[in-house]
Amino acid sequence: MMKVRFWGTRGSIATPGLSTMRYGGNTSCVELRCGDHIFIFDAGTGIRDLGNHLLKEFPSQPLTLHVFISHTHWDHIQGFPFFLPAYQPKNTLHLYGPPGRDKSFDKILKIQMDSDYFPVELGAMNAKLHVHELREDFTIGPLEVKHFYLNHPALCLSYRVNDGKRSFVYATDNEPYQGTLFRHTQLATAATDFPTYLDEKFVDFMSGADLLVGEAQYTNEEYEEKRGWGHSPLESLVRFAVQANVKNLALFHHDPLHDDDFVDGMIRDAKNLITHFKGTTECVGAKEGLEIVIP
Amino acid sequence: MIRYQSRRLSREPPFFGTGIDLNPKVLIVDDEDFFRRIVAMGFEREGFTVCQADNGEDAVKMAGTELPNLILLDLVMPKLLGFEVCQMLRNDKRFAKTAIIIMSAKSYKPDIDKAAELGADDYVVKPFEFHDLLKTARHHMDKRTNAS
Repeated sequence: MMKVRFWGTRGSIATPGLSTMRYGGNTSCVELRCGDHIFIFDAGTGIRDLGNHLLKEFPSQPLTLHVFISHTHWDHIQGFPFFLPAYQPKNTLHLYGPPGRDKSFDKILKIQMDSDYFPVELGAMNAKLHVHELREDFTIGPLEVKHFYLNHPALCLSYRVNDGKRSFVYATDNEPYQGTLFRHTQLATAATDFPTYLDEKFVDFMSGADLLVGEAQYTNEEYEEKRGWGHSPLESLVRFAVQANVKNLALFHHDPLHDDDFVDGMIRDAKNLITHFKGTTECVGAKEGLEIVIP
Repeated sequence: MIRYQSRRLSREPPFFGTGIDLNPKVLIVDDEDFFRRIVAMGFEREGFTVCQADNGEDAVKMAGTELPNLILLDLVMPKLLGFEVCQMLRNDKRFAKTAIIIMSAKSYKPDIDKAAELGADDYVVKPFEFHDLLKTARHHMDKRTNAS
């Protein structure tokens, strides 16, 4: 069984308040439990509550936690300094992420906790921290972990976890190449299929997933104004999910301008699009506290 | 590691700018086989000696042995990213006269700016027309060769 729980579902910046109470205001953080393994995807502000929850659930047992960072933009790492299990010597944390463009992943995490920004340095975290720049796919026990580079103005990874029977994909902060490259080229040749080819590789990566946690920050109308910002319009994500025969799609990384009612509308639109694309994918909106079990 | 030297296809020596090696060598680095081969074919036709690598680690090794005049470098690749390869090569004096051009489907300004900061001579967004790439390559090879 795989069990997924959402601790932060917001994109860009934490958005607390009455209008975001149902879907939540914390930034990206998703927990995946698979057997005894605890995987955490992104360390946005939602990871603080997850950390507190883990301390209550495992008051004395040493924990080994695998934290997968998609990329190091603030909304994906800002909660990490507040993740209490990282301060307990009994725990072991493996942090995985992409190399930076000119700085190591390790260094970027350290910079965030430089004393100019935060009073406690990374080195003061007493857990056994192992930082891994991901260069290749690997396994943790029976679980296969694959990675795929997304199209975003940072080096940004999507992750796929397979346990042999089930598969989970975490793919946030991805703009379809069709959105960025067609505006760059005036080629009237077969080369214009290139963006489609790149997007198809993403579809292949997600193929047949039991659950896709996928980002669709914008409506199609909003996307026209925010093309090149590194995020998806709803229609692209839904089309890719249907093409990939994804069984369940959780809409994730809600725009800070979208209140709960607006997100409800996006979920309705996503369901209509699935029908339009003749897909069978089930769709939900990711909300803080929501648990999804993949039996 | 993919390592071979291509057969020169054109009989006439091509024109390169003043001071440019008449038998230039290009290292094409891209993990997309079909893309790398298409670009390689184009440079072979132009009389270049072509070397190819499909990951960043092999690219660094091959650059050291082949000392190419031109390196065409993808960004997102296994083992070492193009950013890292560019940074390593630019810190090596042996490549002071080697033109490095990034070719990537990533078209975001932060990526383009960072590539320039790391010493890339230019950045072309995929897909591109071959003759545009060639023109850009020749321009930067000329500049690097004539630089004191």
